Amino acid sequence: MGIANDPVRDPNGREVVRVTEEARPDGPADNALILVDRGTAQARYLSWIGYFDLDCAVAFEPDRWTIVEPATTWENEVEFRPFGVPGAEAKVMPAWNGGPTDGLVLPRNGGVTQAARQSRYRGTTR
Amino acid sequence: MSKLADRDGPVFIIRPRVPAIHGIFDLPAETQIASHQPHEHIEEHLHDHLPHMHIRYGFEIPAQSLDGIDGLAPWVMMAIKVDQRVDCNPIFVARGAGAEGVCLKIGGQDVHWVYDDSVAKRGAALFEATGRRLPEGFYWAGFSTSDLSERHLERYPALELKRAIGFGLRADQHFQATWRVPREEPIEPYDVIIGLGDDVTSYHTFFRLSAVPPLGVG
Repeated sequence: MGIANDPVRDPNGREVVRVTEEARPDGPADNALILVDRGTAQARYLSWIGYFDLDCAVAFEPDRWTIVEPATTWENEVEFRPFGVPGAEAKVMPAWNGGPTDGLVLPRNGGVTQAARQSRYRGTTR
Repeated sequence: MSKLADRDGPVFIIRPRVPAIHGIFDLPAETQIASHQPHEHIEEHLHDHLPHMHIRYGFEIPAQSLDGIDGLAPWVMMAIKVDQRVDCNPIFVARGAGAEGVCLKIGGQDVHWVYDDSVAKRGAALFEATGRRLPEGFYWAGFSTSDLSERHLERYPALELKRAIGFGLRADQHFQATWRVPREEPIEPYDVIIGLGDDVTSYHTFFRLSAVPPLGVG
């Protein structure tokens, strides 16, 4: 399960990957969804839990995110920082960060969204 | 029941109850709000790797006629802080082997929940009709029953509902709130307002889960 940038058009893009193997304490938890930044080779937790979040990400920014099914295997060496790099959130977080949007002050026009729009999303990983 | 039906048309009666089943780590059933830091993986646990706050309540669907109801989808909504999201476990009717929850089935399928913004809007209007307003910094997270994929709403025919309810259905529900953008800080427990209803009838109920169990509960 996952969504990702187009690796051909945007080799420095991002991918959302479901972890299929417990790797704590140094790596991520089994079944967690993580955001991988290919450019910096860093990864962090998302609060997402399943296809509903991926569907929302695609609906929220259809020109950039695409779910590719069936899922494929993804293996890469990345530096895992569970809660991200301080001060770098705007560069790595996708615009859809979970939960309903109605009535909320989400970063539609803030740093997160602006930064995310610099790249395109496509593909899927597992 | 008949008076309600006469006055308001068809009703699907659902009533809040104190949870009946002990939670993970043997949290007493009456503990409805509990904040945890990341811990080991537990099946059906959505946010065990993140700081999270458990939200637990029970409910009862008494035996009822369902007259005038062809089918419906129950809904639930809860008031959550805006920098958090909330996700749901299936509905539990018992505790099985290894302390895993036994899920409620309707029509032979586990009952799950899916986010539903229309529930949040409808529920917010019902809540404001009571003369109350949510405190600043909170929003309604709404859910409708869903299939196993938790991508699509699932409505249940009246006959399947009647089979599931039988002589009265008693169940526990368990949600988990976590930071929208995961961070290390623990979530400070807070009272959570819950609304229960369905997409067809006018019957609904609101109640408040207390972060500190009130005296006399048990």
